[in-house]
Amino acid sequence: MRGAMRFTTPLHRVVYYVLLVGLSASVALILAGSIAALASTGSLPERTLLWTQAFPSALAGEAQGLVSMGLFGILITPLAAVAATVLVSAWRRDWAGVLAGCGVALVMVVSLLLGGA
Amino acid sequence: MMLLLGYLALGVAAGILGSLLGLGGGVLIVPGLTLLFGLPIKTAIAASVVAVVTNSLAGSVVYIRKGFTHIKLAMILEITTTLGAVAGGMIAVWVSGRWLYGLFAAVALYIVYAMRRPPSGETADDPDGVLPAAFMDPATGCEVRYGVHHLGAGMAASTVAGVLSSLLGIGGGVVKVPIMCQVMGVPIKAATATSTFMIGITTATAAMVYYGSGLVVPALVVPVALGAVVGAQLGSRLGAKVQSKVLRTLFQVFLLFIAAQMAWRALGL
Repeated sequence: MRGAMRFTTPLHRVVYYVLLVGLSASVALILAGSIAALASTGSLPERTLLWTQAFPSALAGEAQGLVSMGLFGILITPLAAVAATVLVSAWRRDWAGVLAGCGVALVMVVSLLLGGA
Repeated sequence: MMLLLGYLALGVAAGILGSLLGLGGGVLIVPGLTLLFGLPIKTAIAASVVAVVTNSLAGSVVYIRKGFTHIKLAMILEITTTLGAVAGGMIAVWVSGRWLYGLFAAVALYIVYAMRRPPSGETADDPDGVLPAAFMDPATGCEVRYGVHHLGAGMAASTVAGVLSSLLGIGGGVVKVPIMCQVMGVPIKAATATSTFMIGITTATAAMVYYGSGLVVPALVVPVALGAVVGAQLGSRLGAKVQSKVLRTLFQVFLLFIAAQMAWRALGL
């Protein structure tokens, strides 16, 4: 419904599409994998694959790979939104926005490393 | 199949509550999965963090399209919130759990008290301050213009919010929304939308760790997360139409519930 669109800035427009595409693609993969799993085994997979294994598995159309890629897609979409914020801010020469976005990205990477450790 | 439907219903409920009030929804999912379905706490938390990210994405898509979300403010506050959360994780080792519950109950009660009256700028144009922004409020049909006040104090308070959310294992929304409203003069609709967006970024980091450690069980996460998508869509559409006063009252009732729960634990009951 285009009449409902009320983007106030180009940043809103870009981040909106990043989130929409990320969420839609992820949900589509999860649904496809879930339907395939339910049709073949009658239940959903009990474990996820790491993305390095999930990607080829999803390409082969395997249920576990599709679900794992969908879940992984959901988790990286917010990171993509942060990256989009940095890029749009840089394009608009909004250096405070670039700094804030890079700060968030840095803190996320450090948290991820600490969490992983 | 009944289990799948149960998980789905829980996800829908968490999605509505989360996006309506700018919370993650984890505060409902974790007790729901452990108490209603008898699942181990770690499995429940792993499912919850993935559902919270999903909930945040679905809610943010609606809020950003409507122009409610203050993306730049979210980025600025996200830095201090996350730093606070890291500090909170370190402090948690040293502090007694009962003191933490008591502290949270006290903070929640203070927020309920402080939110009795709307801050200036919620009902009328108040474009003073930094990072000016505006959105069209569908409930009133008027454009709300506002600026962010006391950014430094808000960042400091967000650090405390990060510490508290990490110490107490709750989504930061319960603290971030009141800070944005009361300290920074951000209208509650913009505050809930901005909080919803921020929660997705914060929680995605934690969810990655759970995903990498194999704690994410698709058979559980998929129905909860898909339910959260549906719930978030319903909640964020409802949130856009509901009067700010109603939203504030809902938030206060929710905080009172949380405060009572925390006080209960602080007293060891």
